[in-house]
Amino acid sequence: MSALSERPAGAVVGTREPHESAALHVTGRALYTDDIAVSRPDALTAWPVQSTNAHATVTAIHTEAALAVPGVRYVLTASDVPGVNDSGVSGDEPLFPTEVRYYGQAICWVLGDDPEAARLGAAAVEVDCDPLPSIMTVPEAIAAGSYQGAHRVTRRGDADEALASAAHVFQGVTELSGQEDRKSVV
Amino acid sequence: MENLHLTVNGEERSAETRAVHTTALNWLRNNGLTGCKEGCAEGECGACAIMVAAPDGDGGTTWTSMNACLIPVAALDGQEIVTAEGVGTPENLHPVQEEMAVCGGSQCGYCTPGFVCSMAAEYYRPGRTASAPETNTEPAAETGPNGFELESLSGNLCRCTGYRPIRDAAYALGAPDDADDLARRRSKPAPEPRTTDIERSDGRFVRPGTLADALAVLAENPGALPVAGCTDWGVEVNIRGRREPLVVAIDRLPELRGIEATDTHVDIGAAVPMSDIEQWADGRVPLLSQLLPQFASRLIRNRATLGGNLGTGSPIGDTPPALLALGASVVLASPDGERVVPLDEYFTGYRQSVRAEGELIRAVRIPLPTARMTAFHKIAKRRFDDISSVAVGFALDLDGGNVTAARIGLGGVAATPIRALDAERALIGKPWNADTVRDAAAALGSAGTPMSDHRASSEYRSIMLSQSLLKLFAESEATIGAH
Repeated sequence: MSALSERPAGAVVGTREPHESAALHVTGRALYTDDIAVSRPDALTAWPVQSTNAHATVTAIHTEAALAVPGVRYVLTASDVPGVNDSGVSGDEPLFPTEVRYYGQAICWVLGDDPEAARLGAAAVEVDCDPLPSIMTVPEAIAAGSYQGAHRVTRRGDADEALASAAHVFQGVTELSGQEDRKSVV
Repeated sequence: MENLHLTVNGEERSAETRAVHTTALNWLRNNGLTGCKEGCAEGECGACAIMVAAPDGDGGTTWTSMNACLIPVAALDGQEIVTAEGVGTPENLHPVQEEMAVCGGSQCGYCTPGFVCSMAAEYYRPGRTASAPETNTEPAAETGPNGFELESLSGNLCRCTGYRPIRDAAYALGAPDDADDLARRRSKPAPEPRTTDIERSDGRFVRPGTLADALAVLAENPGALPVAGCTDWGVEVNIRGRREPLVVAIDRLPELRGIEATDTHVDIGAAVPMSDIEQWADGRVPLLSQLLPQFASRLIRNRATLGGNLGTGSPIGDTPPALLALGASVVLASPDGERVVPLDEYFTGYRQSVRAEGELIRAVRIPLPTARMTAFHKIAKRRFDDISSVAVGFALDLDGGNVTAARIGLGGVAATPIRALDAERALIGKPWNADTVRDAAAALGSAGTPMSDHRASSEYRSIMLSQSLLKLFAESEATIGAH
């Protein structure tokens, strides 16, 4: 047997190498963004005002009541953005939308001295919206021809012929969620 | 302004809080202990797990893992808690932390402190004993060769590691040695509850010392909210922003914490944590032994109570179907005395019951002996830690091959938990065979008025009811044999 299979002196493969931050992880001493924020007395909390429409145009945002909530410092809106009202990816979703595109989308953000003040402030913001039509289910999307991305086709052989000559044909419709399809499809 | 007092990681602290609704999670994080994380704020992810010194029923202490996001910090007044920071330090890792580190049990590390606390609580469980080397050799064994029950981690989620390295760490643990402070702490009593009474701008939190005191506070303050484990109330506070002007903590009332069994019945105190009931029920009430491991997670069961589950009275609460099958009654206490209400008569509408303003559930009374054929079927989208689509509790007695008694409790098919009376009638007095079961299953499938929602369609719910009985029959064929 060759000596190549023998473990050399000072081998690295097979030694236990804990994660570089393992000791901090397991002792709760690793610091994440919110951990740093809560330990600073000067850090404000931003709480989103969230859309209650799936699709709508925001026509007005009334902040007076929110600003009167104790501990609320400010309400961030599109007018505060010095550059492009973008949320990271250029030309994609605005940070402060005028056209809301999903239930729960953040419309503006209330800044408060602590989470409770920010939360109560956000609850006090009034948003005027004109609802727009929305497609809520896959059948609705298919009916409206509203597809996203490439329309993929997988084709092999002659499916019609195979079905016509099959001994048994079962048909029906089943609906399943996107992440479950790997094990649910029979 | 009176403060709370907590012992945190061995250090006594005067705990200031600006709000009575502040959770233990937020208090810890605002006071320099950021190991405790918020992953969900509703008791599902376990990133907030901490260890609390709880009475072991024998004059000692058991380190009990709990979700800090669901415990009001005021509820921990006078109590002792340990966080991941207290389990060990980078210079002096605890065995649990050491194993998690060397086994690769963390990647992003966010869930890790919570896992450390849940794992440490199981590490210190007095009943944990190593099993013989020949057992637990299956790769998917749920108890390790060191006696570690994987169930103890059922309330902790990890998105990164795929759990295998965490399990490996858990199963590699030895036993605590004699010098271990946390182990030695177990031989001394847990802290007594304090009669906390604090008021802040968002309300008042009171912990009366006796049942009579609690009833008096409720009588003086109509609309006050009694809370026990807070595993439901905590979700209301965190997710729905609910605030109540007066919260009355009843989880440590001695009158609500006993389990007293006679020949004819057992009274389970309304504030006994579900995990304690689970231990008691083992070998005594098989239906509860089937229900309780499926109830949320161990972290939740270490706080949740029967009184809370019945007090909330959700139609999808999991204890009522089993308790209805067991023929349970609710013992209600008021300043005028006690009354006993059969559970079938307890619920009057969606989250409504006969419990009057100022009354407290003192105990749940289960007649003994229980039926010989019992089962609890929980149908949910996830195997663990999920809200049921439907839940079914069965309790049947057979004699000479005939069904002599049948009680079937259902959850998730009406505005309240209900009995499946038609299906019961289709079984009683009939032979326990495929024909009877088929007819009864059809009746069971028509029970209630299930609705369609994001969990399940009404058709699916009804089909699952029928299937439940067919499954019970199939399983009984395998076990009853000579009957």
